[in-house]
Amino acid sequence: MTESISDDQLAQQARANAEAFAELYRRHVTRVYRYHLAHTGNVKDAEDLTSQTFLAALEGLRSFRRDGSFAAWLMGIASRRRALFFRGHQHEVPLDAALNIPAGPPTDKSAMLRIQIESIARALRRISPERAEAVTLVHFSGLTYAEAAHLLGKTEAAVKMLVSRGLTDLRERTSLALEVEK
Amino acid sequence: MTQHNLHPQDDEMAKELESIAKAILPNPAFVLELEEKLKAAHKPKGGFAFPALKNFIPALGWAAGLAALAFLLIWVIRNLAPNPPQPAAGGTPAPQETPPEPIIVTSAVTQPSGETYDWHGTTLILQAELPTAPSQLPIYEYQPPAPITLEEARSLAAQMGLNGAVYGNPGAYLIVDGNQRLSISAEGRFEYLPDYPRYPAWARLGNSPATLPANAEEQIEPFLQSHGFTFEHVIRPSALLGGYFVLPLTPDGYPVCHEYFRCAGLLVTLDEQGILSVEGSLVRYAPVDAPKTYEIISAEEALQIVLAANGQAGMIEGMNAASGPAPTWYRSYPPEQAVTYYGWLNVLPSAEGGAPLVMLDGYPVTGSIADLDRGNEGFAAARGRFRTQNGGLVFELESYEPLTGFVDGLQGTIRKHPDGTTALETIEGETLLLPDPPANLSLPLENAFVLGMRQGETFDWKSIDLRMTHGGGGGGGGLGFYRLNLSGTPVPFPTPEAAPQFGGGGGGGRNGGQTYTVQAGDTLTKIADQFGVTVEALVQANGLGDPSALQIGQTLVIPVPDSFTPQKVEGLRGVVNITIYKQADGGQRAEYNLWNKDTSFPSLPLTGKNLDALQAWQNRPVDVWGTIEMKDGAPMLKVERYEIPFPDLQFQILRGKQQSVTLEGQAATLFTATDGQTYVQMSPDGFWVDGSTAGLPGDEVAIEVLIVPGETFGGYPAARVFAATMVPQGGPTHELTITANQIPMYDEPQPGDFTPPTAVIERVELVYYLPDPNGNTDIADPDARYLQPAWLFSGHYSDGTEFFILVQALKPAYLQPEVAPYTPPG
Repeated sequence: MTESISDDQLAQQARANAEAFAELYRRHVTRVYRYHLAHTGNVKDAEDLTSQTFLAALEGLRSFRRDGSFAAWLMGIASRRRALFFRGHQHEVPLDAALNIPAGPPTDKSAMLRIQIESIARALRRISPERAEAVTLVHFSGLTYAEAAHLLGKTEAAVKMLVSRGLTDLRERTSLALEVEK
Repeated sequence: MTQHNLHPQDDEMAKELESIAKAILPNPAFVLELEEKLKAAHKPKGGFAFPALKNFIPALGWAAGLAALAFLLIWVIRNLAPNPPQPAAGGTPAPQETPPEPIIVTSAVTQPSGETYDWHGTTLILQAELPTAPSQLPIYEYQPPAPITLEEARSLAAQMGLNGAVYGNPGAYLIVDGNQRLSISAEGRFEYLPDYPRYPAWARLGNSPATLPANAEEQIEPFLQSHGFTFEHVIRPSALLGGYFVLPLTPDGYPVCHEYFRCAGLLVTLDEQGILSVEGSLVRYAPVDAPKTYEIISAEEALQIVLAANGQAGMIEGMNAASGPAPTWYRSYPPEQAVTYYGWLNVLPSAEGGAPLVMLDGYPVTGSIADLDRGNEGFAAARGRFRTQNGGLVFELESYEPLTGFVDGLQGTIRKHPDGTTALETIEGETLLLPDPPANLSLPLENAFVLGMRQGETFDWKSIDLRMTHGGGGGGGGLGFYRLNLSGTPVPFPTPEAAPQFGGGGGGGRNGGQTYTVQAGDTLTKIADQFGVTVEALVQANGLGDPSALQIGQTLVIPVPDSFTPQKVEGLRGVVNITIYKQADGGQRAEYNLWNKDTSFPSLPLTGKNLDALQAWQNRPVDVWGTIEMKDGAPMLKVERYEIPFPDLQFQILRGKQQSVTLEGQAATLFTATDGQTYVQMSPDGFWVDGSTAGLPGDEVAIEVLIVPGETFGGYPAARVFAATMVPQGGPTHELTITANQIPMYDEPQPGDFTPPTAVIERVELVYYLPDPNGNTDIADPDARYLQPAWLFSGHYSDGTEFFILVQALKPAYLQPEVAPYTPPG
């Protein structure tokens, strides 16, 4: 029932209605956050970038054309914000907060997840930015290939190719590969 | 996500990434805080809005029902003619709950006197009994409703005492009997309004006018009896929904609840004159493998799971900061005066071959309506007059004109002017006259949100509310319940030591990113020595709070060893990016990074003297001489000197058109500026081709760029794009300003400056959990159809935020180590 009003309709209403924007925000905050966390590998930056993305989206709502691709439009903003914001990875905040786990000795599970995310973030910085972008848009932000294609200004086939190559790159560069190959 | 044409190992990698992605959830406190910030930053800009959206998420769908006002709500009807499931053998209906006191959300939580626990740094107070429960219970399966037929609609109406005209089409009907209205939606949900004039439909789209009177039960019980609702039930207030739930009980005596403070049953709202609306959602279900029952954990065990939980599966959490409906004033229209009313015209065909029902913003329409049919539905300027009929207003239509657009929503302060008029001063600085202001408005009223239509200097308003300053917001945690395993053969859950899907995998090579699994007898020193890194680097890389708390099987990231050989760089070209952190003491700390593609570190933090002068060249090229060193496992560039290769380089705003092309085998975007010059778009660092477009082909766009002399790609001069925006055609010019030269400033994060509020559990009860069938759940998934026992902990944080935690009650033998689908709260 929450889906019976489309993102496009909400986006139109959101220009005048803070609640409509809040609903768009709630629908999409997780995908934006996952995208930024995958790239930055730390909670502080992911939260900062998530805030910036939505503030920018709020400012730029008027430039959104109601063509059914709100998610792609939003992730385009996320992508540009990230490009502007790159910072060193020396400034890492424990990821426990990302997992809703208050500070304390990490449990095995949270520690593993943190390690995985950090390792992915590190690996993402070592592969072609375009491939990294495609992989995170599809696999972290949950965009369809069509949406990612729209955003990246490419064909779906080209995005699939980028994702595929990106996955190969990542596999070779992360410790996750150890498990995958088992 | 379905993968195509992927190498099998890449497919595995894709699944791994997605499982990690799913485990990432933003911190609910952050989510709430940002939502508040966004609402505060929201400035309506004279765009268009539907009349008022509900204050809480699940109701937003209702606004979409605007075009079909009669079918606003939600209710399972077929099940209403109750055909309650037969008790499973051994299951005796045994209502256990006594109706609770209404929960007052806005007042401070009373001095807690219960047991106190440390809940990961938050104080958790248990101020409720831990009820006892049977050790075994049956499981049920939800039976989705079929579309309703005309006969069924009539039968339900008759049960509720309505014998009126039926409008609509198969699957969705509206029955009108005098001032009573019963609407039934395509999904088989219903809403009953005993006295429609008290309940103007368009107002219903705004905030619920309902209150929570203390004697509600005295009104609800007789209603239930007189309308054929004879099921066992408990009555429960819902502060979030502004009414009372009438919750049918399973044969075992427990209510059926969903995520996000919702339960299956009737939701009754009341006003000072009595019952205002009744919405229904009685679910039908049947026992699974009757008379089999399944062992469940006790309330005490569930509490221990809550206390130990780390956002894992087996739990669903949610919170809501809404404090009931925002105060709202509706325009009252004097009868018998000629007016032009702007609103939604709805035309509902008769289901019985009669005349259609016409409504304007929910007001019944009489007069010149003979020619109207569904094709006339939409936003319209209606000329005519309001008249009183049967205690309510009807609109007598003379003529109408379709309009494109919606209703404006404006924010601002409402003031009374010395000349006696009342006006809205919008946050955009406009002053608009408000005709017929409500008498009980206390002026000046700040942060008002007004819906209506502009008429020159006048704002023809429909409603005024205080949503901008009123509560709202939700959030959630918990990964969802485990899938059920009713096979009788327990599926082993991975232990942390085994952790097959995540495990570390011993030593490995000595490249970056390797991990190590802690063995018996390991110490941090030993591990650090083994990999040639410092203990501090190890602690930092793994965020170890208490270094002595190493656990066997724990996976550690091994940072890049200190044995890194410092690298000299001579004239390393990169882009400088600076961030400033404001300190609590008023000071500032600047972080400098060099984004480059010539070293193995794409982003190198810079240290050294005289870096401050770099602040004038934010996001622009710089050549650096110095040494790359490794500090605590992270690289940094010690700067000896630097040069600015293009001291006159400035950002520009260019207008023009974009074109997607392929250059040197890459998807690229060519930008042709209005002066005819064509550029190829590059990323802000100039390292890669930016194939993105801001609009559709042919759109005029504005881009913020840096054009570095000599930089080309594919034969075109390169433009590093920092921002792009579409220029709306014919619309107001969107101002794109240069911001790439500005240095972002943030407050230095203060460790521990967030004080978690105290949480008070006010109720612990056993319920049957069913993923909300009206949510986004895939009903084809068997796990979305089970009604299974769950322990529901509910209460408030000390800031008034309401929370709930559902804990899966079935013992692990009946669960699979895999998360079932559900609609996350918030």
